[in-house]
Amino acid sequence: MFEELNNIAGWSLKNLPTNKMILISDWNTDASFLLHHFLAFYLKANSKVVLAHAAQSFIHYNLACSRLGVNLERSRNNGDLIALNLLDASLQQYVEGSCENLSLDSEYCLNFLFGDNSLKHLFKVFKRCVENTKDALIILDDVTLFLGLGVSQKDLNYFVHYMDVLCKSNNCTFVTLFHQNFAPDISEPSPYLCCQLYASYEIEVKGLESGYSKDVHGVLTLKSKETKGIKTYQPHKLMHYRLTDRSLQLLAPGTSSAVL
Amino acid sequence: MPTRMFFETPLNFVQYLIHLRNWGKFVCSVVMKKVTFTKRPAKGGAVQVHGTVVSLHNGLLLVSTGIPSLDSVLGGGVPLGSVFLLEEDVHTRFSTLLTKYFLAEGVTSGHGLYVASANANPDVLLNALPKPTSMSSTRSSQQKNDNDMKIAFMYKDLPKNQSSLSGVSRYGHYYDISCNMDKSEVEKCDLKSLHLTDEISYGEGKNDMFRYTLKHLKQCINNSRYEMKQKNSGDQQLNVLRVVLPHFASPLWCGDKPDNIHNIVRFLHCLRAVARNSMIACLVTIPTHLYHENEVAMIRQLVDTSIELEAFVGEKNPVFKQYHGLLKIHKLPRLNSLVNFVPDSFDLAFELKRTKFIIEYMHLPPDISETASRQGMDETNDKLHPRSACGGVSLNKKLDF
Repeated sequence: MFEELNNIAGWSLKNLPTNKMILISDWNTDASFLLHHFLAFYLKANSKVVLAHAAQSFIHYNLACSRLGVNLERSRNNGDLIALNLLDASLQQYVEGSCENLSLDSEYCLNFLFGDNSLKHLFKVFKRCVENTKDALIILDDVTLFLGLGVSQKDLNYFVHYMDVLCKSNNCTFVTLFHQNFAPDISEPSPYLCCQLYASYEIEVKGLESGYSKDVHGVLTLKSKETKGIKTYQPHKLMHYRLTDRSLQLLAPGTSSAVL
Repeated sequence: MPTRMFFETPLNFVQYLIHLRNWGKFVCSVVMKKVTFTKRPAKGGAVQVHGTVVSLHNGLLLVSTGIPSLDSVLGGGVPLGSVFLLEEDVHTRFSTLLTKYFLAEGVTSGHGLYVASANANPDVLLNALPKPTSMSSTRSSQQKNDNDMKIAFMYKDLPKNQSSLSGVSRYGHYYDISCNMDKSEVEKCDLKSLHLTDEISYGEGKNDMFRYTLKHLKQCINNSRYEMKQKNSGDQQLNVLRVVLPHFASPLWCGDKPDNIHNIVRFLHCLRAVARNSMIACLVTIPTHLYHENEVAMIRQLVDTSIELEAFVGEKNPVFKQYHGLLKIHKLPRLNSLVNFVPDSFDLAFELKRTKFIIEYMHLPPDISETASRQGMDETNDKLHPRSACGGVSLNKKLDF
């Protein structure tokens, strides 16, 4: 859990961002560390978390999050965390043509997308997971991966729209990651703009333009559409960041130890 | 300990003293061990596989690429369960060489090999592996060391120093690319290969090549000693399978469907799923220059490590005269932790010598040779002469009052 990010965004364990969509986007760098932050953040706040991991294995999340002070394995056994293993589901479907006897919770059938290349089934699974809970968090660890796997941009846009509606109606939060360098076709509304449209917060992560530096790993911009208590326009907050294994350091541009 | 001892010569006495000292050390070390560090066995039964080393960064098992300098750039080696993408150079000369190194390291470490190729028969590749150097000498020196240790017998069980030659034989070897490895060595290891153009005849089932390969690979792994089981049955010693897909996703693989990039991404996604659940290290070489920028971005997203070889073609900048190309790191594995290993510098170049391939941190050649700088100065002066407006004495020194 990254305290500094929470302070800047105005979040805390008692004041979770709910019924919102939070978009994490990156450009030529990997912003997946922020997913771990949200996982740890919501689990510490005793919320229910649904993690759909398509890009990485559960073991990866478990080990990486253990350094942030949460034990995913234990949470999963307690029922606080539902892990949907889309990575293995994809493999099983590819090799055998179905994924019926997947070793996960059998009630959540993961025959979700590869039949008709739409994300409708995945949405239904999410919906069922959060039906009777409040303040739940849904994490989909890489939404652009589906574009690579053959889901059309239109389907992705629909999916994001439906997830936004689900968040508003069920009072839950949806966090997803978008890689901006998967530039889309021009003909349809760009999925990135579509995600931006529905997201209440966008955290954009980019590498430094001048190249890699050991002291500053990149630029993090927090774009908020929140108007709670603030009547005027809220500017983007741009910060430099430095990531360590357990924490995220946020600095005003030009105040890193390398400059001063 | 004998109660009475006769020292016939001073030398015996000295030996006795050494003996006593070592005994003291031994007792100390036993006491110290209790108090300070005892090496804890890894969780869930120590997984010990030959030819691997545990990463200090995130605890993953690493296998060597066969090139020490590439290993150090990657942070020790290729993690097990990860996919390593090598973006080919235009003439595929260097990427093929790196593939051979990777396979040769598998042979010397006793790993299993899996090669699936749609181009040349995998045997062509396997018959031209580089020969390991100084293998025999290190082994014999190790044996000699064992015999020598009579006095310091308690140090015998301690691990050998990694920097010494004996350490080398366990992880990462050196190879001589001017000689080929013996065929018998290659045949000793567990070898599985798939020659796709043999299996699938021309014009048939092109679109299934990805699926066919993956199924074949999965069959090889299932119920073998490469499969990572939840509970170790203990009968079989786990081993590493090195999966190599040379010239993967060349146009033949993709067939003529317009959505071939989705097939590649899907395959790589499933390959990752296979890799995460088994003891394999995958090396995939893709001619990425055939693909659009966005498609390359997608491919890179689906692999754990991505390294591009950019060989110099035609005229090259004289600055790079000692190198044969540039090594570009696009992605380094970020597994089981939030941060990845970062090398000291990203300015890397490679050089092919007569017997080996090396990667170096690139820097400009130092301009310290006297003749070079003098010549440079003369040139500038020559240029200045016609321009001197006054037509006076030409300035030979920078400061001339």
